[in-house]
Amino acid sequence: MERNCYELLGFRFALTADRLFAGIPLWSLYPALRSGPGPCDAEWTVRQVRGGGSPLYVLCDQQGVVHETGDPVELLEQLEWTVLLALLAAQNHFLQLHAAGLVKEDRGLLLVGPSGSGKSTQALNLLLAGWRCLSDEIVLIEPGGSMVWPFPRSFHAKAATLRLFPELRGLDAGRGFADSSGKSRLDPSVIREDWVAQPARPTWLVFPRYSPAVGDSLTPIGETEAISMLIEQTINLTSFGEGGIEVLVRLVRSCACYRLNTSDVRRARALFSELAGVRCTEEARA
Amino acid sequence: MSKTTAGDTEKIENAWRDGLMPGDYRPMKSVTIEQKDLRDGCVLYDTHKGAVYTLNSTASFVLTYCDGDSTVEEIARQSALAFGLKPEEAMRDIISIITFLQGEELVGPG
Repeated sequence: MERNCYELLGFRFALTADRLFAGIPLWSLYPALRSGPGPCDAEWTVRQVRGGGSPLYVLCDQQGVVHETGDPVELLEQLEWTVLLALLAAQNHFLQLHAAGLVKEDRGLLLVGPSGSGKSTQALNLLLAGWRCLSDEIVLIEPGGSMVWPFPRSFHAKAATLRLFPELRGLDAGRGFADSSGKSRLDPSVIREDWVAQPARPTWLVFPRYSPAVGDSLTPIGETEAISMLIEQTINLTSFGEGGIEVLVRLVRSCACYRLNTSDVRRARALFSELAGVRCTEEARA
Repeated sequence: MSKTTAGDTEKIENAWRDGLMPGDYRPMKSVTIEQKDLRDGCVLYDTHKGAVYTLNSTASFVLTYCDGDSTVEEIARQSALAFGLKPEEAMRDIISIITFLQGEELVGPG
């Protein structure tokens, strides 16, 4: 058995398993959070308790058995979900947004949208274009200062998404665990060792939508439309109440807000480069 | 979470027919509503229900006049001036918006 420790903003947890759990490296889930050994706030163990033709896999926490199944993929999905909930609970003092976060020259870009809107695809796209990343799925917003903090985990991407990027061919990409929806866990460090961005102040809010019929465009939208979509994608707004609304209003007021319609990753990359470039030029003039 | 739906003529006709908005009706914003203004509308947070609403600029304008003093007709007149609408057009919009706000208990009688 091998025990690995991880840490996100002061919350430490440990995963213990056979070195390769059913052929799946357990540390492919949160590679960027790896930390030194020591005591942890939470511990999870995965092990195979029955071998042969009908193996049984068991997930335990400090209290006892959490889940048992004959399917290792189901067990890892359960583990990932359990760890995610624990991480979110530990970071509940941040406003948690269902968004990918990217950073270019200290300016933050939040790609906000529901599952399937293209957050991970565009995050991967921009990482390959030299941006750093806060997360492909969840970002943490500081309620006081509105800085956005990283929630770095492996990217979740379908094989079809990975095939959009010829740059990934030959890299050790997409070989991590694939879940029941066919999404692989891709460790972004295969693209760039220092891929995790420092906390950044958001400059752009972009709401992506995969839209082959419409073509590729980045269109400014109003604050009301932007905040409606932000509210829908805020994970813990209920626990913040009115204070959470204030944070979102401040976020919308301080960012340029856009709707991204896209069907082509290269054209989307060009639109983002133009966006970041325009902003730089405006600031240089000022 | 909801949004205003202007131009719902069935609701408007029902409101008039059922006498829900008599001429002296003076809508007033609920005391449990916190309003955050945006450039093109506002966000409302109902502290009692924990519900969040976004309003467009017209609905936001209407809510500003839901002070318990202005009648629906007066609000429509102000709205017509502000947005360059014909009086009957403004009245239709205002009734639609107030019907929605009433339905969500965001406004009540003054």
